[in-house]
Amino acid sequence: MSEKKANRLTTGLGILLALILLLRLMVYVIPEGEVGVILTFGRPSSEEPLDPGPGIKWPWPIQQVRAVDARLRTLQAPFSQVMTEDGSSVLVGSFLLWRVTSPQKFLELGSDAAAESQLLEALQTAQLEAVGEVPFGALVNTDPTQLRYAEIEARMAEVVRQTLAKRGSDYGIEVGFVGIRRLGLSEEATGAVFNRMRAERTGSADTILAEGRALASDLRAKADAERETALSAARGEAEEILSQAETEAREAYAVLAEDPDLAIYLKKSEALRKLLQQRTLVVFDTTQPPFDILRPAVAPVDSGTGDGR
Amino acid sequence: MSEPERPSTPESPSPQPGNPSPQEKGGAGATALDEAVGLAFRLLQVSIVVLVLVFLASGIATVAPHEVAFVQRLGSLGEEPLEPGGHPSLPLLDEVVRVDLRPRRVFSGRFDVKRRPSELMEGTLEADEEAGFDPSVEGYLLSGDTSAVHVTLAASVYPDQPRQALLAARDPDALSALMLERATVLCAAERRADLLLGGGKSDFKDAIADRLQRGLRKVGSGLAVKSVEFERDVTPPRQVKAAFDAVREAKQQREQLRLDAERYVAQRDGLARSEVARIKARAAADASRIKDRASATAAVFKNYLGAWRANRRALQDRLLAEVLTDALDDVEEAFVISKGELRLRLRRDDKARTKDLEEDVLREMGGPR
Repeated sequence: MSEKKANRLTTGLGILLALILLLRLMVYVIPEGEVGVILTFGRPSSEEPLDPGPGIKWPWPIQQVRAVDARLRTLQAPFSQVMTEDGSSVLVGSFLLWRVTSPQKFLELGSDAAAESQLLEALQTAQLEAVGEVPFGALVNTDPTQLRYAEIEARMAEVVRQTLAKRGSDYGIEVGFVGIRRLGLSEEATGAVFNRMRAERTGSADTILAEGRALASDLRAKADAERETALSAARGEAEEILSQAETEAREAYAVLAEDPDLAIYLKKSEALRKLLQQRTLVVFDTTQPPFDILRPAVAPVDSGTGDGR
Repeated sequence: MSEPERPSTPESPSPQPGNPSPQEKGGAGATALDEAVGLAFRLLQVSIVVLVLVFLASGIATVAPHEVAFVQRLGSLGEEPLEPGGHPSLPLLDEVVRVDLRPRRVFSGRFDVKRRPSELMEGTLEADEEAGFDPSVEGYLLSGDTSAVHVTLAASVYPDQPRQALLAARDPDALSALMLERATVLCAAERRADLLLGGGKSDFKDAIADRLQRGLRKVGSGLAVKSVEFERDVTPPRQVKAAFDAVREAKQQREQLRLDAERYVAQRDGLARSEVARIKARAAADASRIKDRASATAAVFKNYLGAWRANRRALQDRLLAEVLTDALDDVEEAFVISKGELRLRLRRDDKARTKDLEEDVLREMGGPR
């Protein structure tokens, strides 16, 4: 390889490196999700933020580009005491979603912490104002139609914007959303809440027991009534069966009308048969037929001695 | 034949073997240098080729199965996501930004006590019933009936619009957690504590998930809610635990009363059924007996009617004789009274008869009397 060729290669590489360095110094890229600004000798060159994408600038130290994350950020206000419209003391904790829309203004604040400090102050003011405009029942209520959270949160966002505007600048910040993240009562008030909760539960326990007893009583009474109804129906049915049987018996007994004397005699005969089936002392007159035929068969005995057995 | 002699000159002395001349030395060095430079150049060429290949290879992006990725070319984020697998990209110009699609869990820990000491919750440590809540230690949730409960919720959130999720929030987890807390506060604020602690838990969870989803959509987060679960169940504050226990016991007693009553109902029902069956059976038996007696009476009547009509007296005597035959079958004592009166004691005592029968059998068998 010739010396000339090596020199050309070295020169080419040098030019390439110089070009890369120049491009590195002059070309900037703003990624999507960020907003940027060109600073010429430390001052913003224009009011409009740089859109995402590539661009050309003078090399440092003449110009430099600052990019700021333009996505939503979160900020939480501490759990602090607020008086509602009707004088109730509540503890409210809220949060704020915000983003940078103008890096020129935002960079005036110097840092993210400074921006958050401004926003936090505005958010606490908003908490006080927005919650102070509604009664306690708009915050907690078993009737959902009485709750006014949408109104409260919208009002808080509005107050934050107004507070920033009053300071002469919005710092290039857009307030995206304000919400309530925590709600409570003061430590003193919770004591009263506990007393009420205890009283409610005690009443509830009594009610539950009373319900149980009433239910049990109802069930027992219903069972007794159903039993009586069933027995009554059964007795009615039994009577009907017997009545039917009596009717059928009467039909059978109708034949007895052909000779009532015989019927009566048979009845008497039957009665006598039944009577004599019991342990009975029967006294016959042996002087009268047919017992007179017994007289020779029985030896006379003394009454009551049992010797004549 | 001899070889002709070479003339020797002092300027160019003939080189001795193993001792090269200066000209020869200079030529070999240049050759070696040329070879070394050539080798170095080839090495450089190879290195450049290798570097170029490595540079080009660095543009190949790999997307894992649980990810999608977007190409960010000169700051501009592509619209079409890259599916899992390998994808070429332009080195220096392109950057591949990945989004993890796996659900992430975020918690709402502010509505719970920082720790739940078992001795407090189990009641083995006496609770200070007069004490309120110190918000720095015991977080809680305020219900619609202004009662307090403890709970920790966990939401599972994933990016359903990955590109949007990438561009929407700097810290999606923090955003999700705040939105979860907001949803929890709002959902609890319209419900009774008894519902939160009892049968309304499932509904409470679903309402939180729904409200969280709407909140995340509202701020354009690109995130979706997969589920909301109780990381720690809803519990009453320790200060009112005894009262809640009393309610639970009352419920148990109510259930016991109900069960006892239902047992009584079943018992009564069974008794009633058997009584009904007995009444019906007795009625049926009575009816049968009535009909049988009537039939028998009618049959006897018909049987004797002819004889009765033929000779009433004879029939009467015959019937009386039959009756007396049966009756006099077992006379226990007979007395003839002097005035012509016959007294008969009829043995119809079943027990006595059985005893006598047994004695007769024993006697016949030669046993003791």
